[in-house]
Amino acid sequence: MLFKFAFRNVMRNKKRSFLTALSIFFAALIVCFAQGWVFGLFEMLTSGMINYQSGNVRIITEEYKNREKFLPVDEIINNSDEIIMRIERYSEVKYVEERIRFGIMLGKDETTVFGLGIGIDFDNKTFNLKQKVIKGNIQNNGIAIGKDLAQKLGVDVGEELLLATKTSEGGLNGIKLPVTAIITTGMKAFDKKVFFISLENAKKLLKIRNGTTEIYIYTKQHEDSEIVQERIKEFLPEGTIALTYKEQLGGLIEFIEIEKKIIYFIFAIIIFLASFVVINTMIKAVFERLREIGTLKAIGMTDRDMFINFTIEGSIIGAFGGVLGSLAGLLILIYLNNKGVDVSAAAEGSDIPFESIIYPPYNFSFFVVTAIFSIIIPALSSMIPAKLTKKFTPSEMLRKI
Amino acid sequence: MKFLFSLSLKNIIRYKKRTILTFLILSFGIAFYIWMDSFIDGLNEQSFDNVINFETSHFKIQSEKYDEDKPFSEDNFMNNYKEVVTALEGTDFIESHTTRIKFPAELDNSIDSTPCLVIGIDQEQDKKVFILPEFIEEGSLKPGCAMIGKKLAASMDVKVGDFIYITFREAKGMFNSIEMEVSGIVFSPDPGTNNSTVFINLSEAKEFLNTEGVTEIAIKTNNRDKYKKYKVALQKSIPDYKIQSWIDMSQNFLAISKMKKKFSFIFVYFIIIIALVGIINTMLMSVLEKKREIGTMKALGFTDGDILKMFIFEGAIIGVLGSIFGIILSIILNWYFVEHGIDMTTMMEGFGTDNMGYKIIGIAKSTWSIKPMINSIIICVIASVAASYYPAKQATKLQPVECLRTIQ
Amino acid sequence: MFLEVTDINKTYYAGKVPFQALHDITLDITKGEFTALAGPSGSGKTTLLNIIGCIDKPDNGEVFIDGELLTEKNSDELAFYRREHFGFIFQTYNLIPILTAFENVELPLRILKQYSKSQSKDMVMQILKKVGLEGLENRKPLELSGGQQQRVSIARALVKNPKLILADEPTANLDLETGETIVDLMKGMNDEDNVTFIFSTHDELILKHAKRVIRLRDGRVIN
Ligand SMILES: Nc1ncnc2c1ncn2[C@@H]1O[C@H](COP(=O)(O)OP(=O)(O)O)[C@@H](O)[C@H]1O
Ligand SMILES: [Mg+2]
Repeated sequence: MLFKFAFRNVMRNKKRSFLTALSIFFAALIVCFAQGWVFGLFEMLTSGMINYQSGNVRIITEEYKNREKFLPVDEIINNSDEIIMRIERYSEVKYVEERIRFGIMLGKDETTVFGLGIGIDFDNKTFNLKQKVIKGNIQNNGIAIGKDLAQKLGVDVGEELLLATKTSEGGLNGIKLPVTAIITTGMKAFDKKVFFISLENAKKLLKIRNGTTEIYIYTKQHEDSEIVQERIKEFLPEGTIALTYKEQLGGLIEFIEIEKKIIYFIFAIIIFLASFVVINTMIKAVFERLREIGTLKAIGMTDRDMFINFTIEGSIIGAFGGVLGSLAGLLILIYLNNKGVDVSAAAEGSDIPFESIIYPPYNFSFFVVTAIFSIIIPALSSMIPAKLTKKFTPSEMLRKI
Repeated sequence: MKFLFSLSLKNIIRYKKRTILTFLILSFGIAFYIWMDSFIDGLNEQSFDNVINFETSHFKIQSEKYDEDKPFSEDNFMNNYKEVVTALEGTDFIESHTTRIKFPAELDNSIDSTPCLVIGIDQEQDKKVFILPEFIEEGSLKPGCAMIGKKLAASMDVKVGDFIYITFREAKGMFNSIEMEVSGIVFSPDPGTNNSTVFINLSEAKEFLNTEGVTEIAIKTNNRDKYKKYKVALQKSIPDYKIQSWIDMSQNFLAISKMKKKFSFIFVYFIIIIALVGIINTMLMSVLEKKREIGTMKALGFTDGDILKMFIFEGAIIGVLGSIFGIILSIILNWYFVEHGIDMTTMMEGFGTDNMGYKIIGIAKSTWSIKPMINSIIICVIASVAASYYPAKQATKLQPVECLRTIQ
Repeated sequence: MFLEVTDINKTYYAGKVPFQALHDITLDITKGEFTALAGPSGSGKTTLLNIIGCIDKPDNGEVFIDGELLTEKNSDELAFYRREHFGFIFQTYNLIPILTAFENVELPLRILKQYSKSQSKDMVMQILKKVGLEGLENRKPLELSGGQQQRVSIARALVKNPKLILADEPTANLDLETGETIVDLMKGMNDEDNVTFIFSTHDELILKHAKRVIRLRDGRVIN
């Protein structure tokens, strides 16, 4: 009954209730949208990092970990083929990839640029290079080079490039390979410094025999990382370690967790701000209905009944705006997810692997979380004006014009 | 007019709580906007300082065909730099100048190697333009030796007295490697200097590269803000050179800040819409509950225009109050970030990068910006006047008889 | 004795200026009385009725009903007491504008929570018939005339069979003729169901319908 009563009171002043709900609508819309946007970016960032830097589990040598920033090529995991074959048989594992990364000074004519070479199996699923070719085609005995790096160096498909660098044995070695493909990963930070060669060529160049520098393991579910890690640990050769992405990206994940809390707090504040409009409306509703409240009290309603009544009234308005606003926010996300947002300017100057066009993800949970936020906060806010009903005695209220 | 205004003011004071709740939303929105804008300006300001104090000074003059990616090309070197300096002598706004050679190399500690930027400096002249000497933490740059950034030293695990190898490519395509003793460590707020720079003496750099020229002339002027005017003047006196001001050199992070400002503004935009809805709502309530008063006023001879103005004034006052309070709020908020700032170290480590696009190490501080404050006042007043238009119009539509009949 | 009011005083403060609205009021009312509270405007009728109906508190003095001391109860206890035992009729009817006539009359039963939906429906329809509003039950208050609204309000007061009905100037907003029919209606209820009524009025013509008259002047009983 209280609900019906409150609902009719909401409908009593439609314009006002609509405007009040509208404020919550906009607040919910921005919150739902921001959730997709910010958490979407976080999600992209973590999955980018997992794809390119950490795998779900990565096997390296202990020394490699200490010197990782130099991408040492003399820290070799021996018998890597055997290890890979064993891990591939696990049911939790999606795929296992061998990768050899090395820093190199690339030169062509007068140009000198620092590059990051990556030796991979060209059928590699993570980079999925064949999809990313913009010119030429991937060939096992060639170089697939990032678009911006190619431009810097002034090389084109068909030209040869001399790769010269320090080998795992300490000496210098060089091989000449033709550029057969120009690729774009969609990430500026990558495109301007990365090139790919086959594992065989990488091993030849760096004189790595019967081993590799890094093994990346991708599990079907992120949650399986620890299980796989445990199983691998049992047969890892001396001096090598298997690290989960959480262990490797600890700082990032921690940062994101803190950031998420801050962002939820900001969300709450936004909806609370919008709830000011609810508070205002409900204060007005209480004052213009003092005589009614007095009458209801005279016929036996308690203070609590009245308090609940007005709280429900404010909550209905809030919930109405909140649910529709969350829905609208979700729809905007779906739209942008299809269309994409160009953030190349922001991606330009930074080292973070970030795609230039972002497709903010949408998730039904964004809707649910926002709806919960925007139902609870206006409801709590309505309690402030609802308390006013207790301030006057019934006889005082009955005397009001 | 004055009378109408004072009526509006009285109405606002009459419903204090309601007015405050209404403009507070606006205040929070713009406080956030001002703070965000000031903080981004703060990041820029810090980055500008680092660019000017350590990398380019106010102007960087290079050979016309200079190409960063062709560091050893003949075209990159100004062999006649002395002529350029002579040509610029007597230019009244130039305070000092210095010459530098910059080239990329690989730094090797005989175990690992990492890319670095080698800068050959003329120590006597350099300190008149840059402030590097103030940030030397240990030792100094001695003849035949190198001075390197603190973070670079730490990551390469070298100390003063240790030897490093610098490997670079000559114009002919040959690799060349030089062994040098580290005689100094520099710890500067500029990430480039700190993370990846090796300083050597200019004369030695010339020797290594087998050149008579330098790659750049850095110029310090008497006023960095007149860069536009000065650039034109410089271009006139030395037309055949590439001249870049500190602003030109900062385009990278300026583009990022623009983007960030845009995103934060979208956010603020929505809060302002919420505030506007609130204003419309409040004003509409105020019109409805003043029905009887409006009727009486009309009966007394107030025109529709007068009534309209009265409510629009009310909106404008809400806007002004909202912006004033918002500015006060933003000052309080910004105060902390100007004084203490945010330590970016953990964030940078989290992202595994030395470079978030800005040229800042450690603590990022906000600054005091007037522009967003002025913008806020304009936005608030225009927006709240616009929002009060509809309710005000409703008030004028009321008929006096009808108004007087309503109990409330 | 059914209702006993002893030594009631009530002072209002307009700002800091005290104004004593009631002076040492003592009254007895027996069950089934049809009593009028008479007096000019400002004499304290509303104040006294409000105190008897426990929607206002006296400064001192006591109100007993059936031997129960009401002036000592807290606000929730009083709400429960009113819910069961009192009916109110107001000068301005005070119907809830968002509810229909039927729902307005049903409201006290809903709050009381003693009757099933169908029971209360029967009770409401019966009382509406009694007050002559058959067929108008689905109208909202604004769609009814003043007399009709007051009939709804009488029905609302009577529907739960209260011990006592308090009516504050129930006829003041009505023309004389309608006013008299309303008082007659109340009197009819009093005769048939033996419900106790106390109503206030400043209209001598209405007064002649009362069985007993208590006169107030300047906050004092004068007869
Ligand atoms: N809330 C109040 N504050 C101050 N004075 C009041 C208040 N309520 C009533 N009064 C005064 O108390 C006196 C009695 O009022 P009331 O009981 O309403 O009289 P009646 O109903 O007989 O017209 C009046 O003089 C009135 O002005
Ligand atoms: Mg009265």
